Amino acid sequence: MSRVAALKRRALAAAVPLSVHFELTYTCPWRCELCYNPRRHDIHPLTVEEWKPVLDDLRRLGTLFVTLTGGEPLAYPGFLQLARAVRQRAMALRIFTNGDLVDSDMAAEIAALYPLSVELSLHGAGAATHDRTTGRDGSFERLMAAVERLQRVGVNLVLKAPVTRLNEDEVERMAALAEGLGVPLRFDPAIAPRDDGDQGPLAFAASCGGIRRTFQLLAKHGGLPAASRIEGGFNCGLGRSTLAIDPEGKVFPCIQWRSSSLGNVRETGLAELWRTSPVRRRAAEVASEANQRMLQEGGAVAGYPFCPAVAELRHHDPYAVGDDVRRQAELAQALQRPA
Amino acid sequence: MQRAAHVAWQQVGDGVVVVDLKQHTATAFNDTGALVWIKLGEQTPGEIADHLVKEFGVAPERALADVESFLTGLASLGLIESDP
Repeated sequence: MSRVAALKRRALAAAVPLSVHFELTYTCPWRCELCYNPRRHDIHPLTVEEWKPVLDDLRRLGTLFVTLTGGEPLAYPGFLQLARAVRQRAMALRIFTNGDLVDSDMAAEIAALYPLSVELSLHGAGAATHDRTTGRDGSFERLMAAVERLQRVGVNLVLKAPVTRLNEDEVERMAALAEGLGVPLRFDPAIAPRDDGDQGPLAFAASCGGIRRTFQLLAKHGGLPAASRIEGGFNCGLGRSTLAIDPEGKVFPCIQWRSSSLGNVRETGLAELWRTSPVRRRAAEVASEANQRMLQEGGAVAGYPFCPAVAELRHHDPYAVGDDVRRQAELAQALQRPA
Repeated sequence: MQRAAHVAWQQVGDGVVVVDLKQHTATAFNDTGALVWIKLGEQTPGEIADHLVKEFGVAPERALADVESFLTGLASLGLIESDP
């Protein structure tokens, strides 16, 4: 979709919130120790009626893509009502879910919304590793059932797999599983701290050997992580083309950036927050500066994805390139070179 | 005619980008195409053609032909469908 790529470039240049994440709830039936969500429950989640004016503002601001996530978004009581409200405003819908609550009726309701994608989390090639990671017996079986139900009604699916110490020995089998299902699989080598700064999830980060094994697999399919940077460009959409809103209405410049909030939609309209927030402007500056810093770093880092929000959470410095990121960048560069 | 249920769209500058959520393709329209797209479902082809005449100085007989041709193109792409 090269037109969408052009649209993204235009949104970055003009500061249009093209893609927005709604965290509907932090409630989730899974208990993943590596989850980046804070370990607390929402006290006063936004109601569907409170989300609707946010959607109206986003429509006027130029948003095209709305992602419903959580926690587990399907655990939000007004999930379908809100998803329909997104589509009624002609915006494209993505859903991040663990599949636990997708029965046949829900699959049909989701299909009727024509989501751009439904993205499901896969943590292992079988029940043993997957269920161990999620802390919920039967979660693998329910995930496979959800995949089957959603495929049956023609929903476009993606499987997403954080590479961890728990599953790094079975990445090839995970890829084979996804291929057998006919669903694209995205590996993510980055494990982030929790949004509240808790570094606990990092204990589950894959070993160097696990990352190597994953990257060797990705290299065969031309899918190694890579970033394309130009002078004067932007590292990412932080503060320029992305937004995230938590279950209680706090607005952040992206799904990972939690060190400062633009404000709360319960107190100030989203359009005003987007236009006037110094936090957004500062985040946009970080997106520019991070791009320059990575270019100045040169070498492998300059061509590798970098997340200022995770750097801020991990190192209290949005430009700090951790040793693990540097190693991943060098490995990706080495594997990209023709033999 | 009305916009198909399986599209998402947004105004971008003077134009419009339409995403076909079944085919996973995107189509961009310029300012005149955007005007037709935005008025779809609210106005008849004749009324939309009147807007083209007023806003873009298109000759009336050509405006209606252009609108109908554009709508035929949209229908062939599956981006619009008949009113229920």
